[in-house]
Amino acid sequence: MRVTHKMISARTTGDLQEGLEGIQDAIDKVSTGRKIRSLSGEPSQLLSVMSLRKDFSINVQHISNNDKASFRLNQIDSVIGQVNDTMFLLKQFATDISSKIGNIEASAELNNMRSQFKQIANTKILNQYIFAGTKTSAPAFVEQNGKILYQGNTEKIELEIGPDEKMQVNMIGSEVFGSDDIGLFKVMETLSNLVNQKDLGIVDETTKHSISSGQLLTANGDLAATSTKLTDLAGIDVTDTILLSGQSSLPTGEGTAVNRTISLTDDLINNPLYGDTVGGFLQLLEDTYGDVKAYISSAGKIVVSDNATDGENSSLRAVIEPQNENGLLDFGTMTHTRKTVKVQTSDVELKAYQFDADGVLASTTIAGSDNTLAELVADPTRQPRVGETLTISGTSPTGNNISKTFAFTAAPQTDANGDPVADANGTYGISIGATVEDLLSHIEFSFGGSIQAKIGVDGQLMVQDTVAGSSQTSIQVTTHNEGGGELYLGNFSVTTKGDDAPQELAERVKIDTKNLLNDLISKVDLIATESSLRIQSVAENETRLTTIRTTIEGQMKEVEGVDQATALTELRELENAYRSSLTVAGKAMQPSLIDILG
Amino acid sequence: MTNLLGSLETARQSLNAQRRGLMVTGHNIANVNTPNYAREQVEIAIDVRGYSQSGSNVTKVTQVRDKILESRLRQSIQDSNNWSTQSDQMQKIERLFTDLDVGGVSGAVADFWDSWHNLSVDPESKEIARNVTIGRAQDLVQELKNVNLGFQSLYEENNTQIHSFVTEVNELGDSIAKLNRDIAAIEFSGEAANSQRTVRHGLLTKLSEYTDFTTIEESSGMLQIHLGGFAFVDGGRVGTLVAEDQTPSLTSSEQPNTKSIIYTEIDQLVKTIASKNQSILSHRGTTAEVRQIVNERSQHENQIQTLFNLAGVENATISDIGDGTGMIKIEVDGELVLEGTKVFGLPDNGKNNQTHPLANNQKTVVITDSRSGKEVSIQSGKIGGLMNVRDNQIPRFIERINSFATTLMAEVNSVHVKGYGLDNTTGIEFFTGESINDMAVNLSLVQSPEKIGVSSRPDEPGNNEISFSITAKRNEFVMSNGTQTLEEYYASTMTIIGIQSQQAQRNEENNGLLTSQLESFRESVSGVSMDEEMVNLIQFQRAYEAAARYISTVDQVMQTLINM
Repeated sequence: MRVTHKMISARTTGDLQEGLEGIQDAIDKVSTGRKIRSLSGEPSQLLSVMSLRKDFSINVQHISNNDKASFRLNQIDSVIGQVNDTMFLLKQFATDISSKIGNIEASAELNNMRSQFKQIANTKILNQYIFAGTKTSAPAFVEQNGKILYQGNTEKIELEIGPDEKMQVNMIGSEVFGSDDIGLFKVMETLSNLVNQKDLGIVDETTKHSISSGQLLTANGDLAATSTKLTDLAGIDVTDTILLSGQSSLPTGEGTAVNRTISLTDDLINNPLYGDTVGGFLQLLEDTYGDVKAYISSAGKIVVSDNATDGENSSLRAVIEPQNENGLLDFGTMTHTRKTVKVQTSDVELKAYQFDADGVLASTTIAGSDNTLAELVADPTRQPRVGETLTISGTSPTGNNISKTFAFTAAPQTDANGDPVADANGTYGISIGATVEDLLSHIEFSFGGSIQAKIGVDGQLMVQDTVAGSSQTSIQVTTHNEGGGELYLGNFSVTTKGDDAPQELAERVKIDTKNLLNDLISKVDLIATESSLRIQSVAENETRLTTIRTTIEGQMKEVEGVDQATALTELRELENAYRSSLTVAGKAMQPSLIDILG
Repeated sequence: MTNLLGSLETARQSLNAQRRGLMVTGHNIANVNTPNYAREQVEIAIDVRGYSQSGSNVTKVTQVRDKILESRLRQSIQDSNNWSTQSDQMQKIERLFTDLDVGGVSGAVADFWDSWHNLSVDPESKEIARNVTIGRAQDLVQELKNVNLGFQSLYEENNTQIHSFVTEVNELGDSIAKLNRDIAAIEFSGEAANSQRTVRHGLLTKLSEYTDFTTIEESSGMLQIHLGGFAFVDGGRVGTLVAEDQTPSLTSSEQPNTKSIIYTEIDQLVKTIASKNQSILSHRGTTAEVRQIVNERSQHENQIQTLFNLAGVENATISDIGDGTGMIKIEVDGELVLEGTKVFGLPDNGKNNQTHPLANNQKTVVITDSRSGKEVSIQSGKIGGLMNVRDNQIPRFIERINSFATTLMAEVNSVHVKGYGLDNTTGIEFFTGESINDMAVNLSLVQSPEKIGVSSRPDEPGNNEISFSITAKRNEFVMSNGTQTLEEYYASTMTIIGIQSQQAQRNEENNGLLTSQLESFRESVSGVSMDEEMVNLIQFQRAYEAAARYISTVDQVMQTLINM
């Protein structure tokens, strides 16, 4: 082929250009450390690059979220610890509450604990009230009319700490501190009221009565009776009216507002429905306040008492205010307290003993209604046997004598309702495998349903009348153990619930408080455990996320990164090639014939 | 007849011929570096006009050319320019995507999602976290717009370039036509129009840079140039190409627009309400439980009303069906969408009305022949390359970026409208706008970031459920008929650009190689070799000297004769 100098110079220029391009690329590679520097560099790798970058960014975010979750959970954990500690202090305080009534120091101590709890319950972490559910901008617990009430909700706040993995990072105040009506602050309020000898306010939620502070007296100064004529009452003027207000007991638990002004003349004296006696007035009160009993107590006080059994929600609040437009009728103000209920409690705290197959004692628990009577005996050889009997006796609330004998049989006789049927000797049957629950229903059966029998949280048998008003209930459950058994259920003694007497109330409050606090403490324990588990899980998650991060970084380096050694070697090779090109170019441009010819 | 005087004549002719040879050699040497120059050769032959031994004569001076090779070279230059233009353009497009270096859209998207994550950690924030989210969203909008604007200005730039190239092509056409006339005139007189041909060849090479064409040489030496189906140069006449601005006719997007996504949401809500109706119908529980279901349903009713407003659906009514069951019906423009438990679905109107994002604010240049007014289709050369990128690449990528932006807007909005701000504001869009051109972060959110709906319920500042639902969109397959996530779609866009650019670069390289090979061949045939010319120079010089010597010899002979 014919070759001209121009061809050679064009070729050499091209080669040098190519060499320079290569060197530039190689320098770029070395200086950036990246293999893929433009979209067209390695398009097939772009999806991997971008997907790895995305994974990396998500991972970084998860690590950051995880850090924040960990921070919060640790803070929450320490707060929960404080809650636990303070609750124990409170529990201790409540143990000998009876001795603290009227004690100013105790009151101050309680107040301190209260503000401490309030402070803890309103703990803020990073701008959030952690116990307020999702209503994190406002304090979780707020003081309203002397009560500390929960303002938050029960919604979780979660953070995403991994792909499809969320972690709850808040606490629900009403779970940790209990709801407004049975929670910690309610307990403290009750304790405070007790210590400061104030109205306990418990009456708002349970069976109760409204009672006048003064007596209803006749003009002679005698206590008025049901039959007393209204006109004989001290200070009465028949042209006067009486305002009845408050809340009725019906419907149960809700009630309706009462607001009625009665005229002594028109509504009572001249109204054949009620008549002119105190009895008629009481009848009118019963008709006005729903399912209640109105009576004059032995102390001469007017009492409106609902017919509900103890513990049932009641809204009753009778306010009877003589308007005394002309007269001077006066029986004081109305107070509302829990209804006095007599409770028969046995003096034995029953326990249930469980034995293993070899007859060795396996566990002991406080007896509950599920336990069998046989389990109440500590010696497995001396459990009730067929033929042994027990007697349930006593006085019904209305004063009737009760006495029924039950014999342990394999299959007792019952009627269509499942109630026990007596044999010719008047003896009823009780199943040899009977449970405490069965015993309770037999006691209720024996008393013709006029009482309610139950087993307390401490394993004591308790009986309570279901009829309002004064009760004459008494009870004995005697086990005869003719066959050498050892079943013993204790002797019953009466306690009065709902009395205004501070010491007894204190006792009751103590028990209630103890139970409530125990519940709260065990719940807080559970929450603390949960919290520790979360902290642990977050810590494990961090390790996992960091591992993932390292893996992604490795992959990114592999896909995007340049091996510097290779890149530098490549650069050196290209430089050498370029040098050779230069040399060759020099040679190719050697003098032509012109130089030789001169 | 030979005599001494005849010998002198022979010597004169010889001197003439060698002098021509020297001249041609000089001409060749002078043009050694002239582009497109083809070396010339003198053809010296025995003079056959008179008696024998009458010497030599220069019959003609020819150019050494390989016309087939030159035609192939021109073709190769066209392709080479086509691909180098496409490659340049694609590399410009590549540079719009700064993702690999400084983050670009993908970095901004990642930051955007992250900011929602941070908002989920700190939803009560009135200022910082919310402002960061707004800022990230604005960055993202800006990045997307930068890419979009980059494409748009590239489109404009292409049109401007096409304009100026068309002017150059017209000028080249003019010059070629003029040369055609000169060549025909010179060659008609029997002379060789070598220089004109060389210049014309140069112009053709230049023309090859811009456009593809074919040539036919007439016997007169004139050239016809056919370009895109019309005779651009026909002998001495030349046509004119006209570059006209027209509105681009682009097909509309196949991607769902913002509205159709809201329609899908509405469809789902309608089904949920239908199932609530079913629950009410078949419920056997307490009144309170039924009330609960009715409450839940009324929340959905509120949501659907908000979505109707967003989708611009007017005349949507929700009412009791009136049969005492408590079930409801939904009507749009009097047409039933839902009645009790029966779902009829939404009427189709308004679901797909998207225009191509280029169509509104761009003109495109179309090349026509001034005489016929018909469009001239140019496939190769720089103009072909520009048109290819302008018509086939840029619109497609703008469309993809637009799809990405509108889907992102719609997906985020569809969740955000359900959220509640710190001030309980609800039912507002996070992004406003119909396409990437008018996309923006809702101004009311920019002014009051506390309105950002992070909470799924009112009055719950710590609730972060909406921010979760929004971050969850990151991993949802919302693009390409539910096969790709937003970021995958974006990455595949980058991949497609990368592949296209890579392909253009490879073609550029291959064609460049082919062109330089062909150029090398051409140089091999037509190039001036200094060595050859030097040899020629000596050869002609010596021959000239010899001829001169011959004259002096004849002169001496004649002197001798005279002196006798």
